[in-house]
Parts: sequence; structure tokens; C-alpha cells
Amino acid sequence: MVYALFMILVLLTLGAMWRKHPLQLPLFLLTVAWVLVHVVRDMTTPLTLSF
Amino acid sequence: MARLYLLAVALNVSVLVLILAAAFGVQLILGEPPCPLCVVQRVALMLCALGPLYMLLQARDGALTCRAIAIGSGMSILSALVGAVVSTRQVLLHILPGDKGFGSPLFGLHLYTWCLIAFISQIAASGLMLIAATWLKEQPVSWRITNITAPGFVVIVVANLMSVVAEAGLHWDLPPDPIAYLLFK
Repeated sequence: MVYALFMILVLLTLGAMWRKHPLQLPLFLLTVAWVLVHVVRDMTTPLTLSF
Repeated sequence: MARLYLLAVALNVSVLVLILAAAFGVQLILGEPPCPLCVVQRVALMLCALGPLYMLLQARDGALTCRAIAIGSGMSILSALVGAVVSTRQVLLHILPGDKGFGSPLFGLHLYTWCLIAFISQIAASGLMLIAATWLKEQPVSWRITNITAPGFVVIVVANLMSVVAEAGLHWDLPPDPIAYLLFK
């Protein structure tokens, strides 16, 4: 589900960009930061994400 | 010049959408559900595409400005850096001799290796776009190329969204080595 949430955030960001909403950049930065935290958590714990 | 610039930006989005479509095609044709790191790389590719889409959408009802180019390129570079970290991690996981890698190779390279090449190329492309802004004149462009590129992007994101929901089912995370779609089990 977490990956679905990432993609929903991408779509929300695109929607905000389409309407030139002030939240467009905060939404984008939130998504990037969340993905980064997700990856860093994976890299600092025993193998869970990948293969 | 503004029109040429917009064409290059639209081409950038199209290439990223094509990469996502190719990955989705491999998933469907070869019957290989993507691993968690593969899905994160797809999300990073989507985030990369938001940069050029930002430029196109800003230019939709007016001129393409250097500010929009700077923000859009910054968005792409940030996303590509995150994506490159993920791809590099996956490449390193399979770097030991004898390791056959995850999934089927495409033209001799695994999809995560192609992704690493794509992320590095995106950073280079964004750098070139920033430099090319020097020759741009901020004049109104009546060219709604966004109407073609944005829907294609939405279709591929929604397709991936449905795929990942089918793959994860009601679980928060994906299994490390997915072989089936949990929603249908």
C-alpha cells in the first residue's frame, strides 16, 4: 500500500501543478522526502525491500 | 526557440513514459511482478517526469520562464538522484560473481541497470536544459503540447497504481521476492 500512496501523491502533485495550486511544490517535496526516507530505512536495516 | 525548447521538454516526458511503459510491458509479457526496489525506481521515474511536466504546465497559458525551467530541472535532478541511489543499491546487491540478478535481462542488462542509466541521463539532460535556457526568450507560446504528454503520463501512473495494489493486496509492503498478485489470492 505504501507504493500506491507514493503514486497517489504523484497524481495529486500533477493535479496541483495543472491547477497551479500553491501546494504543488510542497507536495512534490513531501513525496521525494518520503521515498528517500523509505529507501534509507531499507538500506539501514536487514534486507527487506529488495532482491 | 521557445517552441524548440518545449519540444525537448515534451520529448523528455515521453522518454520517461516510454521507459515506464517498457517496464510495465516486461511485467505483463514475462509475468514477472516487480520487486519493492523496482517499484521505488518506477516512482522515482514518475517524479523525474514531474519536472518537465511542471515546465509544460507553467508555459500552458503564457510564456516559458527561466524560473519554471529552474524549478522543473531542480525537481528532475532531485528525483533522479533518489532514483540513482535506489538503482545503485540494487545493482550492488547483485554484483557478486555468480549472481544472476533479479528478473530477466533486457538487451543484456537488467531493468535496474537500465534505470541507473536512465537516472544519470536525466541528470545530464536537466543540466543541458538549464544551460540551454540562456538562449531562451521569454515570449508567449501558443502551443498546447501538454494536452498530449500529461494524459499519457496519467495513464501509465494509474496502470502502475492498479498493478501495485494488485501485487500488494492489503499488505503495507510488498514481499521481497514477489511471484504472484496477492490481491487475487
